[in-house]
Amino acid sequence: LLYDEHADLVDRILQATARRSGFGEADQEDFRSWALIKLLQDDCHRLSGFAGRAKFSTFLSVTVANLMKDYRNMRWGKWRPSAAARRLGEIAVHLETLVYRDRMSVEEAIDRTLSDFPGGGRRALIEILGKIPTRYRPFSVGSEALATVESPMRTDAEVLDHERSDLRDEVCGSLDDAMRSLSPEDALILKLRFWEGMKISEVAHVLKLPQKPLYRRVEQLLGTLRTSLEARGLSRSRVGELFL
Amino acid sequence: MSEDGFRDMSPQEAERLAEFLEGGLDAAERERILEELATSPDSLETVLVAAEVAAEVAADIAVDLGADLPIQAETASGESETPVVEISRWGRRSTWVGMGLVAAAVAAISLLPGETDLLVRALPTGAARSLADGWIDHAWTTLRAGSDAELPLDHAQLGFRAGVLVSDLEVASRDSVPSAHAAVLSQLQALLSGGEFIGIRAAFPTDPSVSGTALWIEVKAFFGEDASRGRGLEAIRLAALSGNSKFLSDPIVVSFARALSEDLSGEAEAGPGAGPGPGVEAADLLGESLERTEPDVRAVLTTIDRLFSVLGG
Repeated sequence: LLYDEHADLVDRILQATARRSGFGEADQEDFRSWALIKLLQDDCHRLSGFAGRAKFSTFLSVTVANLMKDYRNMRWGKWRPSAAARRLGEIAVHLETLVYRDRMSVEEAIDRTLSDFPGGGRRALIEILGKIPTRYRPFSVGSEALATVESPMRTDAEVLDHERSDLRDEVCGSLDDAMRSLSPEDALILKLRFWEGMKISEVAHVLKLPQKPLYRRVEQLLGTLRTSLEARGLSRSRVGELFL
Repeated sequence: MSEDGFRDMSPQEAERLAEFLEGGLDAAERERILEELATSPDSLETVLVAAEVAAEVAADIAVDLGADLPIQAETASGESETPVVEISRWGRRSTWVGMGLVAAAVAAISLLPGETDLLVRALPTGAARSLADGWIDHAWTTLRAGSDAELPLDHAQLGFRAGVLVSDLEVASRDSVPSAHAAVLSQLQALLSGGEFIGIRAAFPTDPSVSGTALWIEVKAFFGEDASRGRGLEAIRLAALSGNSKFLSDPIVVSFARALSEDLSGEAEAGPGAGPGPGVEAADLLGESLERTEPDVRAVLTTIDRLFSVLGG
């Protein structure tokens, strides 16, 4: 009965969520069917628990968004595309996944994407990559694995890469520490702005904050982060080495 | 845990996040959610996707309401019949004939997430009675010409122009003028010819009677606020060109202009060489022109021209 009453709204929300998932067309359709079954299961228990403290459409949007995340984890494991990539669509999510999850080089990722999505251009894909926030996920490699890749005759370039990798770990670790020292709201503002690639106006909407003072607040927070990183011995020029 | 091995989100948790998105939690509870979002990428993603979807669905409702905006509800005798629309918590709506649709729509819209976007979504539906002379004559051609031909448009300028053209397309569709529809579509094709716009081009409506809503969703998703600005300003320009002062003094339109002024002012403060730029001054002037008892149409058109140059490149 509950579903019948809101069938149209449910359908709208399933469609809108699927479109934002970054899935291909077939997977979007599959997700919509899967999620609908989940909503109908057990006498619609996911819906019938609604107590009326929020709007039903917002409640349903949260429920379906969570199902979308579950569906993706079930299909492809725990990998989360950035909000910016999701907004840019399936090709951007594909490209981001190849570069940041599968750790392909940019060239390889572009070649693969061009073959998976014929019709686009190399330059367009580079532009898309430019719009996706840079991610760095530190990962640990066991000493055995290191022994197998470590060459006693390393080239200068390899030494440089290794040093840069150490510096990147140090910067990321310090950045994590600095972010943890911020209030949850401040940390979230920076995450949404720089990790998720959202505009200030979008951050303001999601967090229900007035937009105008947010510009200044972000500037101040960046200043705080800079001070915090400098206190850990990371100067602007040192961090700049990562981008050489 | 669900049978798939994932932790199911309980309806209570989902409703708590929904309340957060609507700004309905008390300070302590909001802080708890902020903490969760700052440390849990999964929860953060759920909230971000839900925020976008809730705004889109609410905007669809606003567009449905827009179909009944006073401009289109005018009777043959010129008298307005303005239905009042109420949206219930459960998404159903009932309609009465009476006064004050716009105020009700604004009140309903203002309770929903993504206010600015919703206003922009609702704008073009009531902008122009018909396509007045000069409706397609923008301050710029779609592509740069003459000595500027080699200067590429940046992302924001492209988004702004795309938003403008989507408004044009919507009005052309509503008025069922195939030649105008084809002209706008051709400008959009030229503007968004790059490979990165494949998704947007797939949403181009080839049938002149099909509204541009699906296209707008794609354009907005790609370009964000820049497209919204173009779309909203073009709706106001079209209304001014057709002498639709009722639309121009609509609270939705006035609040759009005010929000634009505030946004531009915030961006100017945060940007290099802080201080109000020409965009801020023009947006302020636009707001003032609209807020007069009788909107100053000439001033509106002049300031919008200025804003087109500043924002559209």
